[in-house]
Amino acid sequence: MSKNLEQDTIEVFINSLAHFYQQLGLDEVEIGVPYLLDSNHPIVEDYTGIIGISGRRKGCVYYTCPQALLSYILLAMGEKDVTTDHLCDLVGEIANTIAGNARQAFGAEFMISVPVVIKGEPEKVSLPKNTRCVVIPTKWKFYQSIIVVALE
Amino acid sequence: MFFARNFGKYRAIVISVAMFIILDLGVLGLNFYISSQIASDAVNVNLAGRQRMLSQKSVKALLDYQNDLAQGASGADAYQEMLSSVALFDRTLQAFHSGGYTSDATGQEIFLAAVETPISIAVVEESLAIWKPIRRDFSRLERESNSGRPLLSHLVDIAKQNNLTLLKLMNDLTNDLESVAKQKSDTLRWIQASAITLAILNFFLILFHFIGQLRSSDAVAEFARKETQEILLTVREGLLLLDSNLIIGSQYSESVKAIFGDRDFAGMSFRSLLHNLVVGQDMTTTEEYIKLLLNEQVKENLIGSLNPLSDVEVSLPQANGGYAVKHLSFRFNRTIEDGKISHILVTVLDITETVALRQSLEAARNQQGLHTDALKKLAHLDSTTLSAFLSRTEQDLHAINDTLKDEAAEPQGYNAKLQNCLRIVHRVKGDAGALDLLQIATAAHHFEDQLQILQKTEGLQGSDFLPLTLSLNDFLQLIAELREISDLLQNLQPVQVVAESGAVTTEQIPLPLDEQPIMRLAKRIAQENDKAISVTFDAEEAAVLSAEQRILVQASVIQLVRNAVVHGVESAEVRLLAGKPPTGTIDVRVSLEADGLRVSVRDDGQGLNLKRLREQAEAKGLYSREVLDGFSRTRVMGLIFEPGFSTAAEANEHAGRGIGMDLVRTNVNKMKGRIRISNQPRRYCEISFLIPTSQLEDSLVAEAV
Repeated sequence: MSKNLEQDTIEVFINSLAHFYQQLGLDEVEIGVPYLLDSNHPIVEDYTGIIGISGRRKGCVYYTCPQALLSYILLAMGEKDVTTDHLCDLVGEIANTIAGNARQAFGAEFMISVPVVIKGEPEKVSLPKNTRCVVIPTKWKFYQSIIVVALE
Repeated sequence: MFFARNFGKYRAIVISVAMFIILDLGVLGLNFYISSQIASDAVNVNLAGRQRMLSQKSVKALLDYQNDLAQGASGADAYQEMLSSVALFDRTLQAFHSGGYTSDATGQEIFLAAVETPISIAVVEESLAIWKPIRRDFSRLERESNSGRPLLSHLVDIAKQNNLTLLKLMNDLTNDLESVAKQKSDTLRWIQASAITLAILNFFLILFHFIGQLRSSDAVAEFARKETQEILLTVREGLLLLDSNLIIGSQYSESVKAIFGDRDFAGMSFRSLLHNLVVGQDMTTTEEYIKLLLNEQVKENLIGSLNPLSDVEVSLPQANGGYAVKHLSFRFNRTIEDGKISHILVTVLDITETVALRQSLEAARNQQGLHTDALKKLAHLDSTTLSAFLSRTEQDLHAINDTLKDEAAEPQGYNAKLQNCLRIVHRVKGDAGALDLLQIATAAHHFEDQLQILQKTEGLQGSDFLPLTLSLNDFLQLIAELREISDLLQNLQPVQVVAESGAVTTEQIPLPLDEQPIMRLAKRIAQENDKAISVTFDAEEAAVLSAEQRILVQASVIQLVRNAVVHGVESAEVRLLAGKPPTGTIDVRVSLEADGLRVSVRDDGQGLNLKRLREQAEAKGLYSREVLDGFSRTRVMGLIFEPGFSTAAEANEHAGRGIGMDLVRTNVNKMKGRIRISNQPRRYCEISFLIPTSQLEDSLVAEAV
């Protein structure tokens, strides 16, 4: 799988997330040191937005973050009523931005699905088996979140 | 030549048509000729008929004149009529005989040709024989108008006597001339009929011959068309022709549609075909290349390498709205007609599969190379040692991953991460080198390179680590592959018979230091550095070490030996000049002392050069000159154990990163040991460390039990 984990591909996902924060006029998101993760044991936070990828490469990319981070963003955006639906919508929107940017960047190379949002439930995240994913930790204000790129 | 060139295959038809025209013209000419003959024959027949009439008219006028005279009249009218009839008869008969002029019914002078047929000639001769005496008598009558009755009576008698004969002769002449005319008109009819028959035959010949020829050539053309169509439908390559304006021709192979989508390409420009597929610069270059090809002065095979589209990756729109990435290979060839370039034949080949195959072959070859190389190396190794090494390396790499994962405050945190990673990977490199696993050693070396690039990066950020993380993944992949081979080899080796029972692990068997890898490494490094060495090894006492300690000691000894070969032992020439034997000696010794176990590596090389150590530390910016001047001898020697310190001019696999000695220090610290350096410049250098008895107790106890 190593040869598929190309730097450029992963950078597109990282930049997409940065782009999302920029779009909302929020503070810049800090990118931490990427590390490897056994795909058989995915890690998820409270809310996760997953986009499926097929075409030249197969697998998925997900963004997962704690509820507090989403709530903070919603409040920063002027939303008064923070419900589960709102939180799901927001993480879905983040995943959608990543998907949109990726579509633009990769063109016909990849087919990128509509995001799926899950709350908790790591077992619902299905990654390609027996490979390693790249985890990119991100930090916004005090909140940690991660992008996980799992490509075969 | 001109004819053949200009009419070519139409020569036969042109000849046939020309013959048809010549035939018709001939018939026409003949027709004119014979018609005029018939016309003159008709005049002859008329005049011959008139001779019949004149013979009777003359006799009648003669008799009338005689009557008139007998009745006492003048008879002038009859006389005149008789004279004119006789004159005309005579003139005409003369003309029939030898050709000459006479007057026709209207009094016009006409030329009469002499008769030609034997019958007519005989008739005319006979008539003249009869006529000539009669004519003489008439002349006499005319001359001697008053000669009297006797001449007249004589004339009347002769006239009566010959009248019927002359009439018959003139009749015969008329009939003969008529039959001649009839014969001629028959000939004419016959000629006309034959000529028209010939013309019709010629016409049909042309018709059948050329219809046949046209049909067969049409059939050939149709067959050729079908064959061409079949080729164009079947051929895998996209084939199309470009004219000098780079416009696509009407015929192209079906594959063009398969490659570029189902459209009509005839009359389309080549540029629009490649629109959105090839970048602008390439398109321009391609057009320039084709224009070069169209230039008669340029040799085709000389510019083949200029083709910018010999392997081009394109994204082609698909029916489902997506895109397919294909590799296409375009070839351009001139098509020559009459010695001139008429078109450019474009051959487009979808080489996607070939490229994929080539790539996978390349990967397979690399993999095979890797495996073969690895297999050779691995086959030499004891499977337990190898397995232990791979496990340890995997653990080390996971430790690196954990280091990366640890949250760290930048930038000091990042630097600590890097330093830690360097230390681990350097150990991996040392171990791999000792086991002669060059692939791993190289991978580790590259990983070190990346770490050091990051160390030098200003304003280091988390995302800068991405290439490193990916390399780590590659590294883990390499280890996994080697592990597969190692497992395979392990299966091939005979099962170890173990006394008692229980699983055998490296942790449970007390072993001395592994001598062979260290010897091998030392030899290899010496060879690569063009030095001669001999290593003595006395490490029996290492058996008291715990498994963990043994790993640390082994790794440290590797670094110290490496250091001794690279930095300590001089080249043979230098050694000879210094009065030493050309072969350097390195002694590795593990000995029990009163307060612990001493591990020492001693070389008879150039020793540590304190002055150079100071300079190096200053150059590296580790300490200022003033601080260094304040350092004791021992402290200066201790510099070699500081991270980032190396006196080697440039980093290679064996030295120069300033990590090896740092690793020794870290290992010794882990065992709560102490390092000692004894050094005599130009004579020797011995670096040793003591592992205190307290640290050995557990294993000693274990041994005792």
